Amino acid sequence: MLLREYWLNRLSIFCAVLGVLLIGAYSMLESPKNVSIAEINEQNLGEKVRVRGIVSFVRLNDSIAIFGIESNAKIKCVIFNPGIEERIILQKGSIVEVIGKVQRYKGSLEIVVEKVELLD
Amino acid sequence: MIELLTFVLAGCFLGVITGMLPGLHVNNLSLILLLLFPTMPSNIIALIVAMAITHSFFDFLPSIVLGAPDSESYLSVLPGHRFLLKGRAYEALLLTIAGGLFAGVAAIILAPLFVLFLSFAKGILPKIIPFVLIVVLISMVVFSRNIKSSALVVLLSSLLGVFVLRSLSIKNGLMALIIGFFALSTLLISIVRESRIRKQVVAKQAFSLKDSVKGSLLALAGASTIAIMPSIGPSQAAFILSKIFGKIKTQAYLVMLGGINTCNLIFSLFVLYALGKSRTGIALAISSATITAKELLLFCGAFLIAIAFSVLALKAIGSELLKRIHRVSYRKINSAILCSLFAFVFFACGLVGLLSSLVACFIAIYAIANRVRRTNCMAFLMVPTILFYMGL
Repeated sequence: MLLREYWLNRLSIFCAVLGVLLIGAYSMLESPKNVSIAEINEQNLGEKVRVRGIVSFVRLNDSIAIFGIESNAKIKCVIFNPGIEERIILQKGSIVEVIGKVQRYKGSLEIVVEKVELLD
Repeated sequence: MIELLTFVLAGCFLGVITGMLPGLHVNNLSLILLLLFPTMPSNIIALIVAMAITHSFFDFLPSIVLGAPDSESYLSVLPGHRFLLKGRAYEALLLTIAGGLFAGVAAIILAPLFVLFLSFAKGILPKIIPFVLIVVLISMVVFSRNIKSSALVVLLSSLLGVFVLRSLSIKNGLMALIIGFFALSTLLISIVRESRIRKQVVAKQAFSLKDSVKGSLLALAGASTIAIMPSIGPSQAAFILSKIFGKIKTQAYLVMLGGINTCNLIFSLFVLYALGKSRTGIALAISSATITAKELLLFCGAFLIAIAFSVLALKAIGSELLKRIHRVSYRKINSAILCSLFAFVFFACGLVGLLSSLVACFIAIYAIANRVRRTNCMAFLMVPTILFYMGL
């Protein structure tokens, strides 16, 4: 039995559609969960979360920014290779919204930040 | 979602570039991205996955088109080149595309079963594979048309492989030898014999479903072998399978070659999720991210989109390139590629690496001149692998 070339095209289009649907499903599951800092626990490991708080401390160098935010609890946050905008936003006392993944580092939970925004 | 899809498409375009340019590899780019984005956000993961899959399709285009020998050495060339000589390079390309597509989709569906199989097999197979390789090595010589020359090629390749890969600390020694055995030799012979490429037939094709299925299954078997045994690469696995399963039709062999690397990439990410082990460069780059079951959706989505893009883009680009290839001076192209490969090997592997590559090249030329299959030169990798698995 012969397989004609157009079957490659048809199967590819089917794969593309299925691929888009899977990416869509992942996006829905990956939307950051709105949590308060006090609610963050072991069960959130690996999850993307959105938290708000006041910057309590900042330590900056060329390749990493470590800062703490607090509202009803405290948590440490990390940004790798921070850009200029992030360096400006991260000042002690700023009210910020942080989106990132919860991970464990040296026994404590922290957030590896993907995005930080200044809130008025 | 739009952002993720954009990164997937960006990865596809990068994969086209890395696939078509010899010497530029997706592993190098992945490690650069790891340095820039140590936490591996999902966008970058999607980009890397798409880039790797697209690369696995597009790297057949330069390998089918480059270094075509003339009709005297027809019997000792790789299958894609044989098709090029007959004016059927487009058919060869389509067979590799079919392999990547069918085997890739099958790999996505069968990956969970594969991970289960891996848990059982990883203790047993490495013990028996050295003996399989020894049998294959002996049969390569015994069943050759020119036993003395074949034995000499196997011996010289083995010695070179052991010397370069185990004794000397040559940076990228494996790459230097592969380029020497299979690229430099072919290019030199093409230049010396003034190869000309005949006009290629670029028309709607049809191929045997049986060959496609057989090749895809062999690709899955080959990818499983690579995943279980770290020192075996896609070419080596394809070679071992062709010896184990006996005579494989050229069409099925091309489908297998097309699918094996794609399947290996897909399996490697499932192995990363299930066992936490990195078997490929991209898995190593992605391993710094937290991989949960959700990320499998991202992987599968990126795989499928990249496979679809690669099939359609490679058919379009390949057909346009092959329609025009007979008009260009092949000698000039081969000379330019030869010079750039010399430079590349020198910078990537150093002077000793370049010398090793040249020695490999001359061994391969000896093989071609004496009607010995160039696959016998694979002894350069098989013997160090045997020694590794035997603990020597």
